[in-house]
Amino acid sequence: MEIIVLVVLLMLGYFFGQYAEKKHFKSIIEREKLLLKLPVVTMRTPPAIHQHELKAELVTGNTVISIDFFKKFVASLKMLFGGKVTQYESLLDRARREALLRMKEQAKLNNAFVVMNTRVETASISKNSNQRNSVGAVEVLAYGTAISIGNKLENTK
Amino acid sequence: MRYTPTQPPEGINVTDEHPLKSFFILTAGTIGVIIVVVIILGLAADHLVKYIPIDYEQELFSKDGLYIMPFTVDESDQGIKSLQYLQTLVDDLHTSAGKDFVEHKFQLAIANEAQANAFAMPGGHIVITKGLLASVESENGLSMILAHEMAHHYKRDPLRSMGRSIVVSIFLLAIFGADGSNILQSFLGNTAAITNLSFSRQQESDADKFASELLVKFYGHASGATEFFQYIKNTETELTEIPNFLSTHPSTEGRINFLLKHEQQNPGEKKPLPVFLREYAHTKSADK
Repeated sequence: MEIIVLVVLLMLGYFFGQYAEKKHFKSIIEREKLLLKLPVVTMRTPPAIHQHELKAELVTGNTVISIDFFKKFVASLKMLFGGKVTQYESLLDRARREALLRMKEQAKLNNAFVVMNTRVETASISKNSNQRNSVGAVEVLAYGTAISIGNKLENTK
Repeated sequence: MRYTPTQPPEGINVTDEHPLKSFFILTAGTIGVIIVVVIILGLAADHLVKYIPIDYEQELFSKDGLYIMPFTVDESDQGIKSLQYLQTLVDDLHTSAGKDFVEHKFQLAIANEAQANAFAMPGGHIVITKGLLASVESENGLSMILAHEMAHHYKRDPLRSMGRSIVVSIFLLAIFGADGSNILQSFLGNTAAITNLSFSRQQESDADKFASELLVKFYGHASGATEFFQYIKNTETELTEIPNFLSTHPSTEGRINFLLKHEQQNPGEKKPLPVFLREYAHTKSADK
């Protein structure tokens, strides 16, 4: 009986998980193309522009992505033997890119021309992810300073 | 500084590998490792059982010790009379079993249950349910079951299976800790349990063989050996039947075929059950 439940859960996890992942990657790549012109950098000092006032604002992008049962099962087997846990790689890649995209979308709304000092943070959600039949999720938060052009400055000289 | 908008290439942070590939490799590998480890640990436990003296086992599982009795016992006069009859029958069978097993002693108990079943518990205990007494037609059929449980004791199967499950659980605990809640834990636990079942099926077949041979020694023939199994076959429906590899016992069909052959080779007259036992067997059980 337990074996049947396990097989059903694995199949559900595999088919839905793969479908959701493919769809998500497609959407990420499309949206990345749209926002390609907005640079996101990790530099801490703003560019030197003297003619205009520079406006700075915090922009954040946050996402939570859950792992499917199939991936979790394979990953936990992998952890017995060691090695690259490739099952988690696509999960984290999706979460990181989605969070950065959301941050960029917010920056775009602020008419920013660059997002500076960008940071990405990861946390795992659902403390009971080790419990039977429950699945863990990963949270990724991306944040940075959106720089936009303000009023024209009077020449003080 | 210049910024040139370019889309980063795919496949740098994600390894391009089909998810099913690692699934099959890992599952097959894990199952293989578990089977090998369980077999080795099981054989080691089997080996150690030889070194536990029979009288020590009997003392350890005596009524003042670790006596396990999960059923209610009938203490009516009829129940006690039937129990005495069974005890005598077992002692007689034991006498004809031969010199090799002289050290063994048996303690009978009748469980007040309607479902037909019999158990061999560590320490020479044999438990027969009231339902079983009603399911056999002759003394020969009853002796077959008693001899089957005695055979388990002669081969020390109750201790063996206990030893096996102890070493296997220690092995699983050592790797995964004690909470028992992880999906992986239950997966590996099931794999180990299924591996152990094949030993259990082997023990049952051996006990059947031994028991029917003991019948021939005791009665001079093997008639009645299949009685109980025929009863089980008639009550088994398709739904209650479990696939062979998931079962602790070999298929009823296979057991009947084996025993039937033995019966036909050693034909003889069956001995009826005493009247008081038949009457007692058909009185109401505690669980109905």
